[in-house]
Formats: sequence, structure tokens, C-alpha cells
Amino acid sequence: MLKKKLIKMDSKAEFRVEEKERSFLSRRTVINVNGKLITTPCYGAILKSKVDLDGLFGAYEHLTQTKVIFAAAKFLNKINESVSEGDVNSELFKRHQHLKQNNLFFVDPTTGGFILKDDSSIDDLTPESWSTARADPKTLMNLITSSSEKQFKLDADSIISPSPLIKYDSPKYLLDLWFDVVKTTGTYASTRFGRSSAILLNLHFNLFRDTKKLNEILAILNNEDKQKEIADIRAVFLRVKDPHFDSDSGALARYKSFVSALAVYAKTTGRAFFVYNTDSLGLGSITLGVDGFIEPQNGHLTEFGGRSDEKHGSLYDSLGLFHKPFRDVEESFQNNGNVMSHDCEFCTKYNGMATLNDAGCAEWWIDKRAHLLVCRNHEIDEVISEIQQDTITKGMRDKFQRSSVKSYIDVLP
Amino acid sequence: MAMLNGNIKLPYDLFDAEKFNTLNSEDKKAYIRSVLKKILELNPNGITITQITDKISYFNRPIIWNHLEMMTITREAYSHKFGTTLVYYPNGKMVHSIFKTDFAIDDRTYAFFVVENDVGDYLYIQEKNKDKLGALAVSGGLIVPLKELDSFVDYIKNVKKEVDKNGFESRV
Repeated sequence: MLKKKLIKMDSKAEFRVEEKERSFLSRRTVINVNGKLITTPCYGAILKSKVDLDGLFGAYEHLTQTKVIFAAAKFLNKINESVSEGDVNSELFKRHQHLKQNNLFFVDPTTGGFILKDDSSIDDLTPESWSTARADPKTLMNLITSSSEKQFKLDADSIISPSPLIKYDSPKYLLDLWFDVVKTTGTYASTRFGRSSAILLNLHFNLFRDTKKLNEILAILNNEDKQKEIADIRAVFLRVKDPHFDSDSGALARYKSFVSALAVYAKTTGRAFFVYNTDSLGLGSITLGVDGFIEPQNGHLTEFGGRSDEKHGSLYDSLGLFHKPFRDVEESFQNNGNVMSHDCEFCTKYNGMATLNDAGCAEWWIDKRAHLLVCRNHEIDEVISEIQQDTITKGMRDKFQRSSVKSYIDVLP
Repeated sequence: MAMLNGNIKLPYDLFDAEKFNTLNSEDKKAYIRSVLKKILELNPNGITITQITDKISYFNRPIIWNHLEMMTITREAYSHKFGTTLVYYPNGKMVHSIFKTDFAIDDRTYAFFVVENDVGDYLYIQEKNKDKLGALAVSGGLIVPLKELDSFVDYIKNVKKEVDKNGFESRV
């Protein structure tokens, strides 16, 4: 019997960005990925364990603005392997597939063990290692083809270049090499898999010590000849490793300048622009023209329902824009019996509970995850409302003013 | 047909020889096919193999000929001989992908396009197979003039009737 099915295909892979509205620097876009339509600004959820998946899936009917999934490769491998293990685990696969149908889906090429054989990541490669790779085309191409192939097999919507980590004291050739990796990944992804690719700016926080290297990066991106070489690359990801912007106002000012310039670049070249590995600074970045931000999930996670240590864990405070440690939440809960959050379905179930420790551990983590996503959903809703009313900075300014993250106010336009 | 001049347009994102030579055979095949497709699209007035190999020195003439001939079989391109010179053209401009969702049977998928060129509009049915990595590559093609589509469909229906009458069953 012939098996027939209609499947969604990329006969010619499509990743189009169309700007719909603008308010000062912020914007709303529609991203079309082979017919899958995603509106931005949006929030991205990280998928690295079953707890993340359960939390995301559980909250999904409440989430209209979580539109990007950024996944760790090891967990995706587990999902793909679980399909053949029988019905019990294939639920994982089904949930994953369900989320992918309605979200942009990317694989983080900087995850440990993804490209390199041991648990190390491309961040661990020294400038000397990159220099060796650059001198040997076969080694460099192996890195690029290996990363691209793995992302393609995990069905990423766009293949992100395995860019070197650039630090303040990185040698100049590393910037040239970075562009070469971006360009080569773009060509390879397009010719081999018919997929679009994305620029990854993999920067260390110390780069924001001054503007020198940041300006060099912008000069490369805005160079007319180089633009032609990467014309088919449709997205930009900015990742800042070890960020401490809340403690350095000079670095924050340079971050604001840099992100604004990248947003202009993305707008003029028709690209999507995402920041990841960011805290609530990502929310402020949306007012600068970023299309979405992805926040690392804090706290100690245990996979598949094991108990966690009482000392670990945190709940996101949507008013204060910070994560509250489990102990503080537990203490305030015991002191006055209040729920953790008045308007969150996932928190109200704990109303009246004598101690949070009475909650099942896995349930606590899943609800905490869902609570964070709902908070972000609500925050992005506010931003979108302000774009439509052309008053983008007002509500944002109030929120940041009320929060304990006051230094991020300086990021707002 | 338009006269050819010596200069052809090339894509901006070509690999250099060093990078190309590091690719394995599957990757090379996919790369050559993709580059040739782009070159055809950039040069609608036609190209010759000599023009291509003059510009891209690591492209081997017999291999390029092989790929271009495959592309004429799959209807992605067509060729015309002027004296002893064989000129290749892109097979019209794809103006519409009929369905955003393609039709899959086992490992084969079929995409439907409307193509327009100098002599009319056609329905182009493109067949693709998955390679070892799961990437799709064009493996066949069929073009039917749009004005003859009704007759063609009626004929297929008659073929189906004959198949049913003779009791053929799929063994797949």
C-alpha cells in the first residue's frame, strides 16, 4: 500500500521578515518561515530538559507571545531517540512536534558537546585553535559542516553559524574568521540543505569595555561588498557571554548603542534580530528594535521529576524583573500565606499550602517555569500595546522605574 | 535567441577552491547543483559550459556538463544548440508555487509550480528524493502546457481506469 501524506515542505526554503509597525525604535514584524507565520516582538523559551518542555507545554494555551524555541542539542537528541523507545517516551516527541509547528525553532550551536567530541563547546576553543583551523581549510569546513548537519537533522528553522567567542583581547584575525564562518555556513546551509542561515555574534561581556571591536564588527556587517556575500542570510543572533550589565553603566551604554545599530542593520537588510542568554535586559532591548529575547532559565533543575535541593530554585518576580530564590519565596509564603503571584494560574494553586515543600518537586519546577513564561507573555503584550499606541517608552519606563533593576532604565530610548 | 556575450553573472557567495575541495562527494554534488541553478537564474539569456569553467576554475567540465544535462532532464533547465555551441537556459520563471504544502509518497515528494517562459505558461511538476542526510534533491520533472492541462488530466484518468480494469496492484 502506498503511503500518502501531505507534508509541509521547503521546496525553496523561505525565511522572510516583513515589518508591519514601528514606534520610535521598536517594531512589530511578521516572520514567514516556509508558511509558518510568527509575529514579533516575542519571547523565546529555552528547551533543555523535560521540565522545560512540560512547563512550556502546560502553559501553552496561555502563551500568545512565546514564539521562539531555543533548544539544547542533547535534549533534542533524547527526544529523537525516545521515539523508538515506545509509547511512554514518545509523548515527549509529540509535545515537541506540537510546539515546533507554531514556533520558530533553533538549536544553540554553542551548547557543550554539540560540535566538539567532549563536553566542551566552541566557546572553549582558544584563538590559537581557531588559527589552526583557519590555516587548515578541511578542519574549518568540518566544524561548519558538522554543526550545520546536526542542526539540520534536529530540524532547525534556520542554521546558526558556529561563531568563535570574541573577547576584548581576541586577535584581529578572529573577526575576519568570524565573518568567514558566517558566510561559509550561509552558503553551505543553502546549497546542501536548502535552509536559510543566521549570523551569530558570539561576544564576551568584556568586549563592551570600549567601542573599538564593536565598531569593527559593525563596519564588517555594513560593508557593501560583504553584504552581497551574505545576502541570503536572514537572521542575526546576539549572545553576550557572562553579562554583568547591571553593574557597569558604561558597558550598558555601549550595549544600547551597539544593539540599536544592529537593529538598524536588521531593518535595512530585512533580517530578524534576536538576543539570547540575556536577563530582563532583553525586555528593554525590544524597545531598541530587537525582535525577540531569550532568557536563560535560572535555578537548579532536575530532570524527569527527581527532588531538588531546597536551597536551589527561583521564581520570577514580574514586577521587580528579577528572580527570587526559592528560600525567599518560601519564607514570604510562610510569613503571610500570600500566593506567589496574584494573577498567575500556576501560582494560585499553592494558595493555602502550609509550606511550598508540600508541593511535588517536579510540579513546583514545572509551575515555576510556566509562571515565568506567563510573566513574559504579559510583558510582551504590554510592549505590543505600546507599539500600537506609539508610546513605547512610557509603560516600559514605569515598569523599570518600579523594579530593582533600575540601571536598565538607561537602555530605554 | 539573444546573443551571448563573454561575461556571465556569478553568485556572490561562492566557495574558493580550497573550501570546495574539502567537501565530501555528496556535499560537492549539492553545491554544484545549487550554484549552477543560481548561475542560470542570474543569466536568463543563456550560458555555456565554457563560460562557467572559465570563471570557476575548480569546476570540472565533464562534471558540469553532467549536472546541466540532469537539470534539463528534470526540467529545471533546457538547452539549445547554435552550430557546435550548446547553450543552457533556466526553464522559465517560476511565477507561482501552486500549493504551499507538497505531496509526499514514501520518500518522494512532488511540488507543483506554474512556470512562464517565452513560449507560454506551463505546469511544472518537480519530483524530489531525500538523500542520506534527509535533505531533498530534485530527481525528476515534468512540464505540461497549461492550455493542455485539462486534456492531460483526462488522459491520466483514462490511464487509471485501464490500471483498475487490469487489476494492477501496488506492491509497495
